[in-house]
Amino acid sequence: MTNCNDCQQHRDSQRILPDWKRVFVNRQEFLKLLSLTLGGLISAVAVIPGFAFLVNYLFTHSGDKWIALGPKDKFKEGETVDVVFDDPAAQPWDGCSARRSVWLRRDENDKFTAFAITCTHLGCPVKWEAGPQLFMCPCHGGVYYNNGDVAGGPPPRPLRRYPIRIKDDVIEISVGQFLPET
Amino acid sequence: MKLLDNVINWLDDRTGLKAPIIDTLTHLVPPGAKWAYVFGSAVLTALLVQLVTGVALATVYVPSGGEAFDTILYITTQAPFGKLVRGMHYFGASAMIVFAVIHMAQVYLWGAYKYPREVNWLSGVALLFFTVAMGFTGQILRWDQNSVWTVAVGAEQALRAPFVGDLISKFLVSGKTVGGTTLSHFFALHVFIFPGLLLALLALHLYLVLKNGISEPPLPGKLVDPATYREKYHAMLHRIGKPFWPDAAWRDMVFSSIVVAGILACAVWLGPPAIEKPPDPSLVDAQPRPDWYLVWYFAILALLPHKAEDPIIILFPIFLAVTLLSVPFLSNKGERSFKRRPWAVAIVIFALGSITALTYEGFKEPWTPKFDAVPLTQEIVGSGSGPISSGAGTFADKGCLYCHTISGHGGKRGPDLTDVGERLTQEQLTLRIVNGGYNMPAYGGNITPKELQDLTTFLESRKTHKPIVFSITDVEKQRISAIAQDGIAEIKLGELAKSKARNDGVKSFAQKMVTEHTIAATEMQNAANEMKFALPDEMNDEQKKLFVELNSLDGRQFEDKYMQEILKAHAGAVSVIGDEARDGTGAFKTWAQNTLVTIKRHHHKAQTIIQSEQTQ
Repeated sequence: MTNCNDCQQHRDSQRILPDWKRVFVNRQEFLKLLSLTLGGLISAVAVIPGFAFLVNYLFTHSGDKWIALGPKDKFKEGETVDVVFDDPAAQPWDGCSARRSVWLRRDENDKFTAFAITCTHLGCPVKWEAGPQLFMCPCHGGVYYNNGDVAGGPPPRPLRRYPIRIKDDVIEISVGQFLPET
Repeated sequence: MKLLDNVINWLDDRTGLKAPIIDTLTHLVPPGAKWAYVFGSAVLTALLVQLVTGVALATVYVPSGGEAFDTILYITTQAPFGKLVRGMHYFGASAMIVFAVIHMAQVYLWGAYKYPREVNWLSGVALLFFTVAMGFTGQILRWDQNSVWTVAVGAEQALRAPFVGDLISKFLVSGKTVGGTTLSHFFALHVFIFPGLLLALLALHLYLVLKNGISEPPLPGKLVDPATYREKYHAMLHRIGKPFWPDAAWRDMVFSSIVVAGILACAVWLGPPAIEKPPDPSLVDAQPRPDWYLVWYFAILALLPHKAEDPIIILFPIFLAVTLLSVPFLSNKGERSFKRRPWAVAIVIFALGSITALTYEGFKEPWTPKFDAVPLTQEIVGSGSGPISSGAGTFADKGCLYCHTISGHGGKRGPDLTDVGERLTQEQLTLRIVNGGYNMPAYGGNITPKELQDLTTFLESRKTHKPIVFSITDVEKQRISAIAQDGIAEIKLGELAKSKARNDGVKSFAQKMVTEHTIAATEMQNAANEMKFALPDEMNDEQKKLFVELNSLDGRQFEDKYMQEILKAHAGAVSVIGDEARDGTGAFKTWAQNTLVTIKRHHHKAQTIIQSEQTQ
């Protein structure tokens, strides 16, 4: 190891990463850079599409389609009922897990409210109790009034509501976005 | 045997694996590493059970939103060995979590995470995380109603996080709402991604166990000094170390056999967790709850003060992760023995104690409205008609019973109202019902005045008459019996005098005796009922004799004798009832205090009559 050139070459080959100052003057350092770059490219090409596919739900738009819940005369004034519908974004193989439901209340003649069934505390499904006129959550005892406001327990916010409209005397809701809190 | 040797030699020649395998198996371990060191290998054994049973289940399971539930049902109820394998997979998971926690507690108490084993600890923490993550994702793959809502609950918690909440929740649910896509993503996580990462971490963890060696049991006062530790450790191994195989391995094998036997036994006798209703999110009649090892966390979320929830739901998981990961950086040298680390012992006891207590509460769920509360019986209500009865009806109709207990019926969310009538007046009750409270809805807009009136009447009638049982001394028993017999005698003699006496004064006095002593006797009987004491119901022999004697007299003779006896009797009564009023107990004492005045008045009156008779 008296030859100084050998020393340098030996030290270089012991290092995994290239000596950035010499990547375009030394063949070995350039090959390190080349291999690292290609390795990065291979990883990117292999991983990015796969990962993008894995989270493709972030790129789909279920759209703000209006979902028909039934003719408005089906619902009695002052009553709150559970209406079942199919998630418009669901796939044919989703079976019963594509079913959704909503607490629909006919406040008065043409005034309807559609409450999301999930408790704002931890997302458990709330139950409507017609006797006391309250929504009650089976998980941690959250309670809401018939207008969705918090009546007791841990929920931090009122029940969420879906946009709702009446078209040709049919009640329709849109589940893409909740209404802002009032 | 020759053939086997030849095969091994051929393989070794081409792979060179024989020596590293033998070296690994026989690496030296400290001689004191005994039963406390078996928990890590128990987790590994349970993991092997998981790998085998998991692969087996994957041959039938279909990760589709519409079919997963049916395949799980098929595995559980029809497929040969299906119930057994599902049971083993469930209890294998439980075993992994239990022994991982015990392993961690042991390593912490023994100070085995200190230099040079910091990365052993860190990889162990990551392994614990992936173990719990595997448990959680596995619970979702059951894909019944509980699974669906468990994801929904997870997503709702994620939503609380600022800025990234929505994104995290979307990652969890794989979209906006829980459905088939959620399941297939959880499948990929549970079957490919998490096991891959877990096995890679496990390889690192085991490599580090070999590289840094098994920690020697700590001795109080023997400190870890990074400058000299490795040197001393290897010197110790060379001096007194034992080969892992078989000197230490046999204990691992024995304990692991017990673990596997336990998993098998639970799978056979307890069976896999029940499959609930189908994963139809439109079925609102659900009571989601995580598997047992996360119930403690679910309980925390119920018991928190409402205002503290947001920060705690977000910060608690971060706090847990940071705390566990920072352990080897807070103290990586010095004392290892728990005998000199009281805080370490306190932390472990506090953590395990809290988790146990919270799990217990979590299974009792006192904060949950009891939708299936048994209605109050007429016996409890105490009335079949009228305001109390209709108030009890309102109590049931308005859902009060879901949260309040009365005489053992109802929920535990709110206060027990069995004796609320003793604590609150009707006005106070009305205020609370109308305005509500911390956990109680305001019923003001949702109850008619009549219902409210009846309801509060019913509640006001909720009183427990707790009888205070006095122990009466024998002296008092005799005194009370004597007073009671005196009373009977006064009435009997009074009635006799009413018919026999001619003198108007005596006659009306006798009438007074009968009336007032009858009242006194009734009151005394009430007191006796309360004190659970049986009063005598007839006169004593002396009084009977006196009655016969008086009955044989007539006219003035009778009147004189009667009045003399009454005077004597009342003088005695004033004294003995006075004693009772002073020394007596409970209702008898009260009675005596109230009655003494009457008796004194009788005595005085008797004296007056006798004097006026004599002056005539």
